[in-house]
Parts: sequence; structure tokens; C-alpha cells
Amino acid sequence: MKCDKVQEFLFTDYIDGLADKETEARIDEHIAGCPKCREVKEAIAATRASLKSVKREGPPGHIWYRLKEAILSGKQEERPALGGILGTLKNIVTGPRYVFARATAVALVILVLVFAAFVVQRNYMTTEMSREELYGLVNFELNGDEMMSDLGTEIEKYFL
Amino acid sequence: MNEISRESIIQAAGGDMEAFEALYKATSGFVYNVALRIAQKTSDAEEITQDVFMKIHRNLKEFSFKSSFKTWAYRITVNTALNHCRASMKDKDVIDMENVGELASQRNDLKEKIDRQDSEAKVSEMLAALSPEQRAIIILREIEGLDYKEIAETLNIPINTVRSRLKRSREELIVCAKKGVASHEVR
Repeated sequence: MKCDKVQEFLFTDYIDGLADKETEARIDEHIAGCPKCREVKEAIAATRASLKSVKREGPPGHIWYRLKEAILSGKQEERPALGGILGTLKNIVTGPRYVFARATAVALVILVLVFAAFVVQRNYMTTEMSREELYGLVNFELNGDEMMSDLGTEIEKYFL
Repeated sequence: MNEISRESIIQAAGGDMEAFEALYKATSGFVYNVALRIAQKTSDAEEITQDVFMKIHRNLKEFSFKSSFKTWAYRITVNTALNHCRASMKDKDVIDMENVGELASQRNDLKEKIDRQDSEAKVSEMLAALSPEQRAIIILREIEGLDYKEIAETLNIPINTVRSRLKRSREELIVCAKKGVASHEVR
């Protein structure tokens, strides 16, 4: 076997243990008497050893959280419009991300209710006062009528 | 990588997030490592890893179990990493192989040089001297330990092409080791 052919095997099947026994024996025989091919074999083996010594690293933990968030947000986008709105509302109502938003909303609602109660009470008082004033006027008018009718009666009485 | 059970793949494909997380935990190690070795940069490897799992999640329903999940995941990883490299314009042309023929005739301190390249940095330098495609095949064979058939399925190429690409990549690694890895750095 010539050097070219030997090196063809050395770079592939021989080094990967795929050469059949007969071919392997012939290559070994060639290498024993060929320093060039022996050197190539040793160089390949050394390179492989370096590559196999590489430390395997795990992915940083934040990748999973980023991925999960991306997947979940993608799922929300895929939902139909109404479902998406309902999902968003549900998320706002129950989701952990909207705690401050919910607290603000509750505070606003309380503020609006207090203001509304104040306005209603004020309106009620105003209405009561108006009624009193109205009744006062009516009474005055009634008194006036009575007075007029009294006057009329007295005049009538005078002329009669 | 441990083989993933069919059941857990089906569960994950059905939207079960816990099953998908288990799948991620079982496979993210090799995805990240292959991405890191091909892209040669931690930030790129993180981006590629996330991209790979987004693709896996999106396409899991279409996974037909014709090939193993491992091969399918390797294929997505290698393709995503290579596309990332191309997009980043970080890959350069393959170095000329004109010196390979002279390799056998140069009887210098080659072995000693290679022996000294055991460190992580040296390995990274050696891999950086290859094109992304060559890096991919070397990583799959030497670091991930895939056999020729698995590499052929992963890269979707015939076994003889695997053989010829491996030969060429290994020749180049040795040339680079001999040259002190200075001629073709990819940055």
C-alpha cells in the first residue's frame, strides 16, 4: 500500500476504527516501516486527544427563563382576539407581574367611591335646602293668599 | 446525550411546559456546546441555544420520529449555528490546502507542538482555524462522538461526503497546529 492510500485511511476509517482487520493490518505494516505516515498517524491522534479533552459547559441558567418567557408570550400572541383579551385580563387580575397595577386600581376605585359619596351627600343636602326654601316660598305665598283673601273679605265686608 | 422518550416528546409537543423543560434539560448541554464550538463566542452560543429551542418548540408537533430526536436536534443546532455564523460574517474562506501534501515530508516537532495544545484556548484556536462547516463536522465527530451515519443524517449528506469532509478538516487541523494556528483566525 502506498503512502497516499495509507493516509487516506489514516484520516478517516483507520483512526475511527472502521477499517476492516485486513486493511488495518496492512496499514500497520506500512506505518511500521514509514516514518512519514507514522508521524501523520501520531499527529492525528494528538489532535483528537486535544479535542476530546475539551471541557463541556452547561448553558447559563438564564437561557431557560428567557426561552420560557418567549414561548409563553408567543402563545399569548397566537390566541384569537377575544381569547387573547380574556387571557390578558386574567393575567392582569391574577398574574404576579401586575401587583402594583392592581393596588393602584383598587386605590383609584376607593378614591372615586369616596368622591362620589361626597358628591351625592352634597347634592342631597342642596336638595333638602331647596325644598325648605321652596316650601318657605309656598308658605309665604299661601300666607299672602290668606292675607289677600282676608283683605278681600274685609273690604267686601266694608263695602257690603 | 440521553435519548428522550417518545412520550415526553409527545407531551412537550402538546404544549406541556414541564415536559418541554425536561426536554430542554436533557438536550441543552449538547446544543449549547455545539453552538459554542461553532460560533466560538459565549454570547452567540446563548443566542443560538435560545433560537434552537424556539425552533424545537415550534416544530415539535411536526417531528415524525423518522429519525431520532437526538439527530433532529443536532441538525437544528448545526444549521442554526452555521446560519448564525454566515449572518454574522464571521466566517472566512477556507485556507488553502496546498501545504497538506507536504505534511508527511515535514518531520519537525509536530507531535510536540500538538501535545502542547491541550488547553482549552488552544483547542478553540484550532477550531477557529477551520471554516464553520468544518468545525461542525469535527465537533460532531470528535467532541460529540457521533458516528458517520449519525453525522450524515445530521448534516443531510452521504456517508462518503462525511468521510471526505472529515479527512479534509483533520488535515487542516494538523496543518494549523503545525503552523502555530496563526494563518487563519476567524474573528
